[in-house]
Amino acid sequence: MTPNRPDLKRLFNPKAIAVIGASNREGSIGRIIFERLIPSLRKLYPVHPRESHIMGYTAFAEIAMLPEGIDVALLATGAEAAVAAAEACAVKKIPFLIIVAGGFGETGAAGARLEARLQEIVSRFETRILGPNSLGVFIPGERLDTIFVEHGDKALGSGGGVTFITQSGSVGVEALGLASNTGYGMRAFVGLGNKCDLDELDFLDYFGRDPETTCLAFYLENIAHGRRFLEKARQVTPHKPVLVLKAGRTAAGARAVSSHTGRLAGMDAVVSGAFRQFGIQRVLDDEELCDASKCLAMLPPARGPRVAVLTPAGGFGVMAADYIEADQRSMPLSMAALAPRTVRRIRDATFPFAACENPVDLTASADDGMFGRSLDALIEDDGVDIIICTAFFAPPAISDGLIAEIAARVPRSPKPLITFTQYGPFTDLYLRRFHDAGVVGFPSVSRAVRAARFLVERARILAALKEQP
Amino acid sequence: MNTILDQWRAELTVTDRPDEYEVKRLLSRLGLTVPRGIRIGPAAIDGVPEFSGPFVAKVCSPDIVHKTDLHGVHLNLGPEELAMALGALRNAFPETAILVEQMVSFDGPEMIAGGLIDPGFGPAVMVGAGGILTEIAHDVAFRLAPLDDAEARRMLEELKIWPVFEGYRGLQLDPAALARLIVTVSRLVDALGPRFDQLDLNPIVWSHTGWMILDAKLLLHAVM
Repeated sequence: MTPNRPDLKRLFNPKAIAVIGASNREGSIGRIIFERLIPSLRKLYPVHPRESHIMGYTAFAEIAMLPEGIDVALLATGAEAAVAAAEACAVKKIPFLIIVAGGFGETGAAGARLEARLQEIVSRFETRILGPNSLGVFIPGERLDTIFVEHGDKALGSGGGVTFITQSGSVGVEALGLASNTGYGMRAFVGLGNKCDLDELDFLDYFGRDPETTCLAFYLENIAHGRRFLEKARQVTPHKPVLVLKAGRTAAGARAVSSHTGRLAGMDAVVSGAFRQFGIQRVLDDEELCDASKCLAMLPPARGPRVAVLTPAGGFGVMAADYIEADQRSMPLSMAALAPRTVRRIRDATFPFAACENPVDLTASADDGMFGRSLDALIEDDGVDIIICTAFFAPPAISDGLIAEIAARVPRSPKPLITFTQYGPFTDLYLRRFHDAGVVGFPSVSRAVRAARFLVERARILAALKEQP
Repeated sequence: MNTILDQWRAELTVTDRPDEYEVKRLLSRLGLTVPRGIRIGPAAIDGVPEFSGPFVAKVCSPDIVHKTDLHGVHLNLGPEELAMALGALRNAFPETAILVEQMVSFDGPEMIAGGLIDPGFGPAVMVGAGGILTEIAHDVAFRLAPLDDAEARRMLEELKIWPVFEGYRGLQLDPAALARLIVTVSRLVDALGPRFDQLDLNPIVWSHTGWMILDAKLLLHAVM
């Protein structure tokens, strides 16, 4: 019989946390993790066989001596010790364990035997395990952070609501670190590790129902319960986007096959097809995962594929048009044909000589206000579904006030407004400022156009869901 | 579906190892279209089809996977050529059945449809550009089985060759009928359950008024 399982809420909003292997020793993982938990303002219970205090907190010599009511135990020990500690925590009825240690199934047969012992504990007790080989959880809004390596947390922006669930700790922290530089808002981070118990399906279910999550982003190397994961995703996608980076694409064809169909499936074409069928948006690398989750978490789906481009620099407008018109097979975009009234409005707001066909080139003489009024005209043109706005700060009449001009339009616009900005060494800083003002920005034309495709794909998924009985 | 399958399995010459003729009989019972044909058993010297030519004669055995490579397929045969082809096939493949079919003319592209078990997601179906170049073109779309007409339609729209279904060069092909074929394939794959291994329908062509499956291969697992 399956034991009663505790609600994941206690893992993500714990009141009391035990740290097994907490340490005073500088540089040890047990110390880093304990230090990171202090700002969470939760009750902390370090467990250490000899020390009486860890960083000022009373230490417990044994797990059995811990008080009742602990929600989460972090196991910051080596693999062998973690298995023994996990059993002691389970006996103690601690509902959630995060096992940081590696040295389990990922290292070979001996490690796999240790991991099997963890699974055996899960089968006998109500306790659930995240990991092993997991970085744990990071919930910025709760100031709860168990990640003991650099992960861009100090650079992380507000808002966004992305829940980022990753099977690889390194991919997760590096992707987030980089994304944070240019503006990224997160609801939660979960390091899945080896998934001896809790896996992507548990978190898809939990964060699919979490009102603070606006987009789910997964990095996965294998999907534990393939069909059930897809079916759960189909329940979630009407409410919020689900993105998956499924790595290991060439390995799928390893099975010997004698049919054309089997050989054609080799490069994991079934995964792509199944994702489309169940409303999951697929991305192929870490940058794409962050870009797509950022824009899907913050912007509405695109009503259609017609893009208007607003720029102070002709060259970037031409390049944007090339990117938009290229790649017409998967998620096609087109350059919007602007209404005559829109063209007139922009010309009246700018210069008689401005090129007001799409791409709209305001030239380097434009000022902040001209951008704002041109955006208004594009937002109100029914022939435009998506706006890509190039923001440059080098032109003399452009000031930092351009950020506020664009930001003021975002909440008023029913159509997605994506910004592309470059400002030499200040590019990341300005992208951050845009993000903090609620504007989705990217540092290249191609990434801005790619983001637009994700918004079109999202709209198509919603349309297909409506067709279903 | 299950009744049809049970009866069909009971009739197989070799349990769970259907040959092309038997696979096509199953497809036909499921409402799909295959050429008119007869199987001439290993024992018979010759056979006379009840339909007119031109004929196709091909070796018909679950053991022979690449018929064409082994010169096991003879196309576009008149009555006399058929007799010669039967003799040649007999010599080349003793103790093996031969399938004689009416050769059909067709318009437009050769398509492929099929099924497989994905190790992560289970039963899946495919449709794409077929024929002998199918693995070079790699113009295919997959979905999990079973699926509905709308989803099958989206598979076709995903293909590079989709414009051929929109009146390209005056072709009048019916994508809705091909979508229904995919749905039928997906139900078959689903209904076979743990017995199912792999299915290839290649080529599938538009012949006069409908989609016709010219070649079919179905691999089953023996299930106790």
